[in-house]
Amino acid sequence: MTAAGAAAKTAAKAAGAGGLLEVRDLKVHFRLPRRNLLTPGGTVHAVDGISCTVRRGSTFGIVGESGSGKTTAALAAMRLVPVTEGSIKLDGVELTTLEGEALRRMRRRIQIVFQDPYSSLNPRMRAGAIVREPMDLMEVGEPGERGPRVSELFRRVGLRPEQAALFPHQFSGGQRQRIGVARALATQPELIVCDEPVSALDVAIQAQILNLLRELQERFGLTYLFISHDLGVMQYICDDVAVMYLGEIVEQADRISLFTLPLHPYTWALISAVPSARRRKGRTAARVHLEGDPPSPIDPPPGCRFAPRCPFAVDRCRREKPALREVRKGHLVSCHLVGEDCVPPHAAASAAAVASAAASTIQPH
Amino acid sequence: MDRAAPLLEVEGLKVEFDTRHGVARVLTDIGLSLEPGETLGIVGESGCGKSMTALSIMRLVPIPPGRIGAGSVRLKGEDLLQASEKRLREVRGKDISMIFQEPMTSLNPVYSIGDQIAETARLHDGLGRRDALDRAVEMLKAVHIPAAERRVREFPHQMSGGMRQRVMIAMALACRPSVLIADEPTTALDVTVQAQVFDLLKELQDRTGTAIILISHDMGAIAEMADRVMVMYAGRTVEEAPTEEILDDPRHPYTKGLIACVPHLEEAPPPVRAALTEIPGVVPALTDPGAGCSFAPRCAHADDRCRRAAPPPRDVGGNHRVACWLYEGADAA
Ligand SMILES: Nc1ncnc2c1ncn2[C@@H]1O[C@H](COP(=O)(O)OP(=O)(O)OP(=O)(O)O)[C@@H](O)[C@H]1O
Ligand SMILES: Nc1ncnc2c1ncn2[C@@H]1O[C@H](COP(=O)(O)OP(=O)(O)OP(=O)(O)O)[C@@H](O)[C@H]1O
Ligand code: SF4
Ligand SMILES: [Mg+2]
Ligand SMILES: [Mg+2]
Repeated sequence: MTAAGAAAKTAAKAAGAGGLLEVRDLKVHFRLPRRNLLTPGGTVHAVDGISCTVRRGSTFGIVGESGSGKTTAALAAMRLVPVTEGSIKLDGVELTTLEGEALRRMRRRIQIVFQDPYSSLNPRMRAGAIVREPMDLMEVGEPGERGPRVSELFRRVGLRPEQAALFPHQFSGGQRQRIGVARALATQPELIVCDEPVSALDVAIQAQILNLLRELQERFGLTYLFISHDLGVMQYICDDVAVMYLGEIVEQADRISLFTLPLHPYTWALISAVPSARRRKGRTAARVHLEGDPPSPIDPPPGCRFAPRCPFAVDRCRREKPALREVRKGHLVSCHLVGEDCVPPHAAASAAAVASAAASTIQPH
Repeated sequence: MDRAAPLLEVEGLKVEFDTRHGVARVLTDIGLSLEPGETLGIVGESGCGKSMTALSIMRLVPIPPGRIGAGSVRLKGEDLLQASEKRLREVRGKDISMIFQEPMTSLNPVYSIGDQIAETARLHDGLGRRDALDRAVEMLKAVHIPAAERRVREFPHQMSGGMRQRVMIAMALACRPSVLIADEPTTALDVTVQAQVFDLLKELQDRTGTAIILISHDMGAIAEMADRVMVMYAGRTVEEAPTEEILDDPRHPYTKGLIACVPHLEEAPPPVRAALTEIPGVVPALTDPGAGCSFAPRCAHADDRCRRAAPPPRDVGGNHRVACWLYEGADAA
């Protein structure tokens, strides 16, 4: 880290005393209208009581399968979907009750980078106008300063200022995502929501964007709320990670603890599902089999929501909902079977897996 | 039939497309071979020609604007590029079948999944209606669809993405093809479901001896599934080797970059994170390939010769071939 970057980070930490974004018991439910006799109405429990603290200057990751509520949670923090219940504080200010001008002023402090660099940019606007738009909308600075600022933003994300005159289709996917990042930076936000910002990109371009995001964070003390389903990316970019399953956080910890000692069986299953060179063909597959697909967030199962797919589920899991509790410093998990000793239910299985993987590497094949 | 001939052998394949900006050299001198029970992985960035290679093997390249300018695709010795349309219709689905990336676009929404699988079996194996439906149920069971007897009557929209992809696999394997081409079969799926699909493919391959061509941009997926890997760049094969070789000793600067730029999931993540290795720049336009190595504009090792002439593929030993001037004189022979 550069000296300036380190200073920015330290200063940011001191100023905010930790939490820039504080989420408490957030719920976002969507009511589905009853359409006909066959499809009953219902309530989608998209986000169902999550709490987390995003430290200033850090990257907080939300990982989980499709439909687990990652995007909805982030949109709620930006007040872009109606909050059913709970509290969201940015820098101590309650966001859920803000209205009118106050809401508009708050919005410039949180910006978003979307997943799809192809559909998220207006094809009829020039790149410069796209980056300038949020400054005009939110009246950031004097109108005369905005042009030079666009040029500066272009340079900052690794584009040339004269490219501001081009249209989105004249850029490659990676360059378009740089335009998306420049636009997000335009209002000098403190928090940037990155919703799968590299999922649609080739790996080579993905590395360029991830490096850019880290470099910008270092220089400007930015805070990221980072959403992805790619665990490799999460482990690399995030300082803290929350694992979501069906609208709930099932495990949360700093990146080192989470990946070295995953406690929730779902986290463990996710990690073990990632294809890797460690499971090269011919070697014993050390993998958990999760049967079935994630169940629906409409009328989620009682008890532990993961129980229907959990290989370790006992009666209690199906009856009683496990609470999210801190089992080690900063490491939270909601699973009945994780004891005070922090031994997860998959400990035996993963020990066996490690042993068999070790055995298969020494066997000639 | 020549007993020494591989199951599938592609040689000197050249595919071009007429575009508004001139002729796009989509595939240049592509060759590959496949043995029964073997899995060949094809990796590379978007647009490098992975899908086009697959389509050429099935002879499904849209002509025009495309054309197959040269080469041969021999299945058990028979050149499919010279075969009649009638013969090709027999081959597709029966000897070679393909799974596409997006299952919804390749399943017909108005027919039950049972009818769709049965149709393939009736067409190619001449089964009667009853037998074909039994085959469909059997295939659904083979891909672990629960309650197969009931599910066989359902329609694609009634199934989850993971189940639809398994149905696609069932359809592709209904006639026990000798070659299965899977073009990014799991890109649209969650990791836990992707793991199910990969395990299923491995299991079916063990049972039936089907050879698989797996196309992916995910080196991890390729590492796990493939026996051999072919790395493509801008319509050419830049490196080909057994999977172990590619992972442990990649030679081509592009392959090295492709492996190094991905943040790999570590069991014990390092506390200090170095910047990711980048491959600077973007893939070149295929309409204006220039004379030199197509990777030269992005390569840290490029010199004058790289910019002047395209490096020919060379054998560097251990069944490992690489097309890069850095290995000139490294010929194993
Ligand atoms: N406006 C809405 N009305 C009804 N249901 C919704 C709405 N928005 C989201 N949902 C539902 O809420 C759940 C959570 O969706 P969300 O988009 O937050 O998931 P996600 O974790 O971001 O998934 P993905 O990885 O696919 O982006 C899903 O079941 C989704 O169908
Ligand atoms: N109809 C067409 N006209 C002109 N060029 C085409 C046409 N179809 C495909 N191409 C070009 O052929 C090249 C190879 O495409 P192909 O679909 O094989 O790439 P791919 O490696 O499968 O990429 P991806 O990972 O994105 O699927 C691309 O550069 C593409 O632009
Ligand atoms: S031939 Fe030259 S430019 Fe091409 S990859 Fe090798 S070193 Fe790089
Ligand atoms: Mg989402
Ligand atoms: Mg493709």
